[in-house]
Amino acid sequence: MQNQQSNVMPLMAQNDLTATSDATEPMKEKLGRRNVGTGERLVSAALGTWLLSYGVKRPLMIQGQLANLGGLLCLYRGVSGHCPVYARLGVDSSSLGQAAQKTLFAPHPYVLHETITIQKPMEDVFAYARDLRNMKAYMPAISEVKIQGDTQTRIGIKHMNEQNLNFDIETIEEIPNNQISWRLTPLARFDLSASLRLKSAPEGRGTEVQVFLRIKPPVGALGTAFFKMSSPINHVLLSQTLHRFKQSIETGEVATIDGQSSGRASKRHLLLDLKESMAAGMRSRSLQSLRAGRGHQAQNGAGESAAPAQARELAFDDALPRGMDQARQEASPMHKNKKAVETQQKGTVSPSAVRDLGTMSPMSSEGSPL
Amino acid sequence: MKAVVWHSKEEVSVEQVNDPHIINPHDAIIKVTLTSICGSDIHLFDGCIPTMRDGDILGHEFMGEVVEVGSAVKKLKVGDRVVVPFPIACGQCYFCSQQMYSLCDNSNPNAWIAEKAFGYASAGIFGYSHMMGGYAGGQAEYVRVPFADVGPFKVPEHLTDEQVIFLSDIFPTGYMAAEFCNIKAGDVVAVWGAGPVGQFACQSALLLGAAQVLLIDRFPERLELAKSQDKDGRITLINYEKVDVLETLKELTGGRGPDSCIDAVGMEAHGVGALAAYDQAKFSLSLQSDRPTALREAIQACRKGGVVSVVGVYGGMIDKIPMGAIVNKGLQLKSAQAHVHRYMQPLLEHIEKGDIDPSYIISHRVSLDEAPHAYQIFRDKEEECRKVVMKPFF
Ligand SMILES: NC(=O)c1ccc[n+]([C@@H]2O[C@H](COP(=O)([O-])OP(=O)(O)OC[C@H]3O[C@@H](n4cnc5c(N)ncnc54)[C@H](O)[C@@H]3O)[C@@H](O)[C@H]2O)c1
Ligand SMILES: [Zn+2]
Ligand SMILES: [Zn+2]
Repeated sequence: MQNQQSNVMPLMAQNDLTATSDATEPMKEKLGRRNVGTGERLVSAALGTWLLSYGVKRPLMIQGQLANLGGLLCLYRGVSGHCPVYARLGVDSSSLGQAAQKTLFAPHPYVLHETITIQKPMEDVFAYARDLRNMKAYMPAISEVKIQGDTQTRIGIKHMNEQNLNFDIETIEEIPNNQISWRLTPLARFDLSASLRLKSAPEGRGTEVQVFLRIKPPVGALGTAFFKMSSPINHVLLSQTLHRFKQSIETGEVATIDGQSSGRASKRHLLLDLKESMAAGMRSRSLQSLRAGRGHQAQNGAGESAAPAQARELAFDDALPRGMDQARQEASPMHKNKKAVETQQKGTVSPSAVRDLGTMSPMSSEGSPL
Repeated sequence: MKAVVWHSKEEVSVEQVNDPHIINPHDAIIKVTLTSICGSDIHLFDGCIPTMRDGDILGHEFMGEVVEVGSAVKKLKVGDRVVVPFPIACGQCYFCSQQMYSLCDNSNPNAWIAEKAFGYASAGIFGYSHMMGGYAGGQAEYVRVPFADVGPFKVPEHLTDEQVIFLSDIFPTGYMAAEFCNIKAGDVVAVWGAGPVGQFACQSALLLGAAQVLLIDRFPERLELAKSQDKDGRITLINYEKVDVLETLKELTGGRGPDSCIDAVGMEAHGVGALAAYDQAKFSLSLQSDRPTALREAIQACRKGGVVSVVGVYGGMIDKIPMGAIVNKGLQLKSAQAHVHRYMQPLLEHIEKGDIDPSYIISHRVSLDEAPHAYQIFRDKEEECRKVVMKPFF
């Protein structure tokens, strides 16, 4: 735990974000730098030579060409000590890299970072952030929050078949009105910690909030590469969550179109929507909702447009025969209100109603120059 | 309920959809008594605005009666008669506190899409694509209105729906366009586009004391309509199909150029000549989303040190903008989706005093069922269509 924290802290202590980018984005590591260990270089060079010797004898065959290609790469790694694939993954098996725990199977944590300004005093933002019961407002996937002690909180996440997935969160650091950090326990399949840092914005512009999400997937560098590609925990989600966090503090509610009226309640549209949103690059969201197949997990999606909303509408349509559907609507208070307004318009009570009816027959033209 | 639903380019229909209900505590449900089609809706109709989805309910100009309010709504009451501004504003954020309502930080649930496109996200807008929040619009029998204590504006009983509905969008838009121009005594303001927005830009420039307004369009009936409201001969009409616009503007201003130029045309400007053909070609190949003929002309025409006020809507990228003219002539370029909330009260006062009766622009009064046809004739300027209002209930 101490270790985790110390890895997050140096990032947060820096105001110069360019300096953090190296740590958060291994991809940006300098090309050409030596990143292969000595032993591995020898093996690589030997392998390269063998592959080439196989390949040059079979220049017209596909396996010969592949062997040549692989051979060249291995030879290059061996001779130069630099591996472009490692560079992309952020792996470094040289002695330097070993010291920094960046070998292939060492954990490769990465940090997502976002910042937003909230038009409220620091005290308010801090108080809101430290009360984890508020998570339900800004993280719609969370269905339950149970405070279990000073630093322990249990959250329930809606999951497949309405089964709740439980996580425990531990508050690992709290500096009043300044900084707060949590981590997920127990370290199930990956290790996740989050820090929030507050700073007062200039001249009545409220509070600057920086959030750092540090993620350590299993299976070393390859796990990290896979996680970054496929995980729903990404920049979009972080940005959405932060926007919701801000909305909730500033306005007391989170903007949404989930459950609003739309002309998308038919099956045809459900399918189209999925296709459409996949095409729009919202892959993770759609897959998620396909798997989950029910409400509210729109965390990664475009509000109401999230497929689950339609799934719900669909279920509703299928479940209720037309008549019942109507009966249900008529029983709703809004419907009664509508009725009230309607009767008011039909009678002579409302002068505006009468006036409007007069002016509004198609193509009539009271008060117009026509 | 019945609503106007967008399906794809040039395909809208009137359909039964599920009724809206209160979702958030600051929501209200409005029973729509009158709604209208805006030039901005035409951009949607023509498929020029990205992130529209099959099934979206259209409409951002509407008014009606409050039928239900959420638990946190304090000022608005069931039965209130209100006009609703097209941008959705929370009333709490920095931008709302600066009266820049169309830039509200908190009303767009899809801020992340807009951030990708624009860097930062602007306010949610009713019925105006998912990038703008994906909110169901008001060309419907009922509509859900978020932040009901901030947007909906109560209007007095003695004014008709037709007199006040345009407070929802185009009157404030035209007024803001004129306000951007910082009109001083003796100023000449040129306005591109005699559509509804251009009409109100023109009237507002007069209200704000312009010495002359030069109005540019190609449809005689639209130009004449503006002239019909001209009490003291301060409007001059320019038909750009008949004369060379730049030459004429120069001529009419003694060689100085208009003090400010308003673009009330937007991304689907009609154009003549080589550059317009170039735009059309790029647009057809999807290399350019917008065709900025009028904007280019406005920049070129503007006098040194003048203001180019852009309220015509642009969605994405444009090409061949004379940046050299902007820099070397020291122009100011000002633009926004209208901060409608800011203008509703002062403009209502103008209406009450009789300075202007906005209903003069209405040419078509139809029922909601006729929306598909109305979209088509408004876009194509057929049947002398200038502005359509639709009534969901009869
Ligand atoms: N900024 C805002 O808040 C806001 C609000 C409402 C509307 N708008 C935008 O304002 C624009 C106009 O809206 P409208 O309702 O008046 O639409 P409209 O389509 O009825 O009017 C546009 C007018 O421009 C004319 N025109 C086309 N090309 C021209 C050119 N090259 N030179 C001069 N005139 C030309 C057309 O003939 C038409 O009369 C649209 O882009 C709309 O999206 C912006
Ligand atoms: Zn509009
Ligand atoms: Zn706001």
